[in-house]
Amino acid sequence: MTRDEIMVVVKKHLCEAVEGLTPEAIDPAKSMKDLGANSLDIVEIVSSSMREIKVKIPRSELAKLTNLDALVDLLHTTAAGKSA
Amino acid sequence: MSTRVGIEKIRVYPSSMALPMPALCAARGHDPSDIADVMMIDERSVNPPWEDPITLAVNAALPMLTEEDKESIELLIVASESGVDQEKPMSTWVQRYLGLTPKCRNVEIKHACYGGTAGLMLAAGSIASGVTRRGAKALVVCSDQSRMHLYKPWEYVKGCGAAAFVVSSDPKLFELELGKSGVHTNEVSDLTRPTSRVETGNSEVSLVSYIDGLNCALENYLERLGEPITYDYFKKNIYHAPFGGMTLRATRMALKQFGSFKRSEADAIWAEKTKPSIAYVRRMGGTYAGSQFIQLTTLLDRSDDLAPGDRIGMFSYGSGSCAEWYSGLVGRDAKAVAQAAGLQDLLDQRYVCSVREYEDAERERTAYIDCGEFRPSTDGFGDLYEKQYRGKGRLVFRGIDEHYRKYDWS
Repeated sequence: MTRDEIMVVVKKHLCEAVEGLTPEAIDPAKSMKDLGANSLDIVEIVSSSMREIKVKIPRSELAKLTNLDALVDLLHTTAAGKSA
Repeated sequence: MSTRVGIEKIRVYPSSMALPMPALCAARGHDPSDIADVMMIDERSVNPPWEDPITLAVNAALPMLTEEDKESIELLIVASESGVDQEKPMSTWVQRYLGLTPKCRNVEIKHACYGGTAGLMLAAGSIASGVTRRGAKALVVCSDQSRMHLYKPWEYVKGCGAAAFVVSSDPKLFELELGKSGVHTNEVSDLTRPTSRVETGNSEVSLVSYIDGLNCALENYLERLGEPITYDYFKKNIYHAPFGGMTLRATRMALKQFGSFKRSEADAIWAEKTKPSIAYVRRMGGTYAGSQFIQLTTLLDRSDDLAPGDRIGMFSYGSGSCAEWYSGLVGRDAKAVAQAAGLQDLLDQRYVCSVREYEDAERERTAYIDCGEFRPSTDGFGDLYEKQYRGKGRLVFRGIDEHYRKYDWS
């Protein structure tokens, strides 16, 4: 999957979790908390994205993420590493 | 060789004090709706200084054991992540104060919140395989208390309590479906207790690990089952509850393996199949190894739409980690056995403490960790000892004398 395709997946799960949020309104430089997700929503968004993209992020890396771009980068890098 | 095995009877002990979450939220300046509606916690159990994981375990199990049970129990497993000694197992104290026979094998096991399920499976294996003599029973006691987390953001999810259950070839409460189980082990340092005082980690990492464990253990269960099923294969579903709100998230994730469900549909399924099981853990807070069995007791006690033979899906997760999805059938006397546990009354009887009293109790319990000499006071807390302990035959922790722990009946 391309990085853009992964961004679409993550935005979809973020919009499912946060009522009233639309993909167009999402600034990927912001954190998911800033976009209205609580910590349980974030768990659900990350887990659902990993499942759909069919990758597993090393747990130690998850704790370092600061914004949506960083999550998408990590998912993309991990997915690319898996298919290489 | 026995082929039927499961839980014959169960009892839960929620300790004797309760702290309402609205009071804690007010004291800390935290939004109470976040705790009530998202985390789904209403109260937490608090241990007075004269209770510890050993008294919790004994006070959970003793009232339900008959003399015949005590003679028949050949295996005692105490599951806990709150051990009081690096060498001597808590099961030795529990064996002594329950009055079990010397012919009873005993062991303490540790696997975070998975410990209770590990205990159930090991006990069932021992009974079903004939390792114990024919007709023998096993007793599993899950007993935990959180460490002190005053003013920490995760303070709200802490608690204490014990769940004790007899495993035998007469599963009146809950019969295991032998072989219907899926397991996922994954080494991760998500939540740990690396010293005798510290309980630490990253909660979001842990919850993602919980969901990963759920996905993989359920996949393994479905693979081993070997036949296509829908989610309705399970009449009810219990998901390990570090806090009640996690069961909703777990349901949404599990349903993804059974089809495409709208958020509203998934939430309605949770309300029907899982929500009834969290009513009492909402009132106890984090109960670690015992959580799943407290939820089972709650479900069987409160549900009016369950009949003997109905299947319950069970999911257990313990940090570190191990996850297991397994299933069992409602036993023939399940409701009566669950109601006999009297958990609602025990919850209602707890002394409702102030935030100050909760902090005092936590500080006193923390102060004696690693101490060779200690005498807990039985004063304070609204005269709790005089009102609920003296002459009531509960086991109490009397202190530490040259590193030897002392216990006595109240």
